[in-house]
Amino acid sequence: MSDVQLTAVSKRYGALEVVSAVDLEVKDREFVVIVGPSGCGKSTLLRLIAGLEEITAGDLVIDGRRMNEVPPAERGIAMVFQSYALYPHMSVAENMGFGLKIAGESKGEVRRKVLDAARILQLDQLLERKPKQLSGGQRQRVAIGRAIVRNPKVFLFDEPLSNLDAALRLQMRVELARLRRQLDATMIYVTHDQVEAMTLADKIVVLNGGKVEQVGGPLELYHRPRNQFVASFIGSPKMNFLSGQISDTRAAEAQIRLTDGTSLTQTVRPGAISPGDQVTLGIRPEHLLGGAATVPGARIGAEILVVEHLGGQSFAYARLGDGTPLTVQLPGDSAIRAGDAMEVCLSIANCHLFDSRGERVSV
Amino acid sequence: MPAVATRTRLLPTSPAHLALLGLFWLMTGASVYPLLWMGLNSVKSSYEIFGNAWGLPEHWNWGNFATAWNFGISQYLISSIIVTVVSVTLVVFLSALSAYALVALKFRGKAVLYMAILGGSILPPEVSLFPLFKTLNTLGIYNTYWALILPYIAFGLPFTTFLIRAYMVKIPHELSEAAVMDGANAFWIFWHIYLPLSRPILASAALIEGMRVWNEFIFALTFVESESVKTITIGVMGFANALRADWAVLMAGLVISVLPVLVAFLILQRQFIGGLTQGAVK
Repeated sequence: MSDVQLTAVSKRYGALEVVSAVDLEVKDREFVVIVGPSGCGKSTLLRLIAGLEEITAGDLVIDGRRMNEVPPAERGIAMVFQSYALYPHMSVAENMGFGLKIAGESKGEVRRKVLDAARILQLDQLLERKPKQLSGGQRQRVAIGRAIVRNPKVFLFDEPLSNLDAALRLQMRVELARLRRQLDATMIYVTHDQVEAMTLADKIVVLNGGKVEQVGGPLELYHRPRNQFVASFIGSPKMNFLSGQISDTRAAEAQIRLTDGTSLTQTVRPGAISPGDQVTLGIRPEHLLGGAATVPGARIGAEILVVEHLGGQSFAYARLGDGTPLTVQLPGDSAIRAGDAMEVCLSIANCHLFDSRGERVSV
Repeated sequence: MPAVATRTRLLPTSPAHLALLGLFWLMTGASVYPLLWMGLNSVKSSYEIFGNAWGLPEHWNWGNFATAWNFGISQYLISSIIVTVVSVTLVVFLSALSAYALVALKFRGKAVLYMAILGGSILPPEVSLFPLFKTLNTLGIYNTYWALILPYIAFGLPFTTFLIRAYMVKIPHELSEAAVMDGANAFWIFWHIYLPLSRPILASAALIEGMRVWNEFIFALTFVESESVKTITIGVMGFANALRADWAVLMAGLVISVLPVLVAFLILQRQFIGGLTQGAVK
């Protein structure tokens, strides 16, 4: 068992609070991705778990044992750094075996464990090379190998793919997913890339300003974001947001009038909203339907500014009459061009309604 | 990290280029000429030095070196080597330790401590001559190798610490964090990571410190008096008095005295220049 539990964990530097009363439970063998914008405290949170930073308040428990004051090496964790942090003067084998050497393991045992990890990561032909003689992807694998040889209970990854180019990042992402199945260990992974979060995670933690905004499965966060921040952060391209006002409420139904005059109805939590309240309607680019859509919804007119053809799909960046920007997903072979006027349908079933504080009110 | 160097080249015929070239040759001549003159005259006879100071020797009189060696310069050389090797080794090791502490460890008053260490380099050695003389006497180490080694270490530490710290500060902090995760303690990280990665600057520091100690005069003149402990700078001075008119043997003695530093510099010059310019450009 390798559960990790954070209870009201905070980190302060003087008056500045970078991690604020975070509660989080990572179950045994779970792959949890902590995601958020730059400076949201996600790397600090990982460093608190690793023991590289002291926890100001709260408790960190791994495997039932409180770890706040336990030195990093005794926590049963291994960390893969963003910059790989390979020792440049040591060979791949020495890099991977460094921790075992410190732990006083025999040369033969170190060699055996390094070879085992190297085989898993296909590094067995590169063991005598120095880090500077390796490609970015190989260095990343060595960094992971250094973590594997210690046979930790928990793996921590701090933006491990952010130094790689797009193609290599995709390849390494697939390798990480494979490795994760092979190692069957608890993993906590920090990234600012929501694609990595969506593809790798069992559970995503969205962090903003040191606070947890939402914890949930990738699709749960995608389809039912708890607030406007999560809605805007998860999904690429970002969700569209249209301002409006509640014109009427009846039981669980709310009538919304958008700033361009369009009206539509949403099912909301009873009592969550009143007539006259300012609201924001969120809708993802793929849920704005062009052409003669037959789903229930409201139709709005937009002027196309730019069209990006990606082959399998296209994205039109448009502007509503009141200047609100709008991104629409179109088929790859769409003939729409910049300057065209188009009418899109807001599919009511896929709309998200947020109150003036950004909290979700639609059910 | 790949370094991208761009170099502005002056046209070979431009006045600025010619002026720089002229200045370069002038300075090279000023540096090399005394060495050449000393080398040439060390294999002449004294008579020839006065008669033909600028020309090549008629007979290459290598025996001058044997005479100088047997006259006692061997003992001075041994003393200088002992004092230099021990001082330089300890200065570089202790400076590397303090530089590492200043870079990698978290503790209160680090900035003040660093300023205090740097402040040590402002103090000219001459002002401490008398207090040091008394201290060494009190400690009972006057007229021993330690009477030179300890002050050399004290006066060498500030600049060497500054030099090594400037290099170590560029070693990515993640390396020590990775080592902490691997279970390494502070000294292990110093010994296995910071020290090996700082090799170029350690070589530079050793060379600078070696030259300073080898050529030091005031302390060597004041803190030791026995022939068996005197270093080569003082030895050669006494040599001049003893030999009186035998300038050729004196020149041979001088050649012997500068030879170790010259050889060390030639061997380490690539590291030395590399170390001094580290971080000057990205």
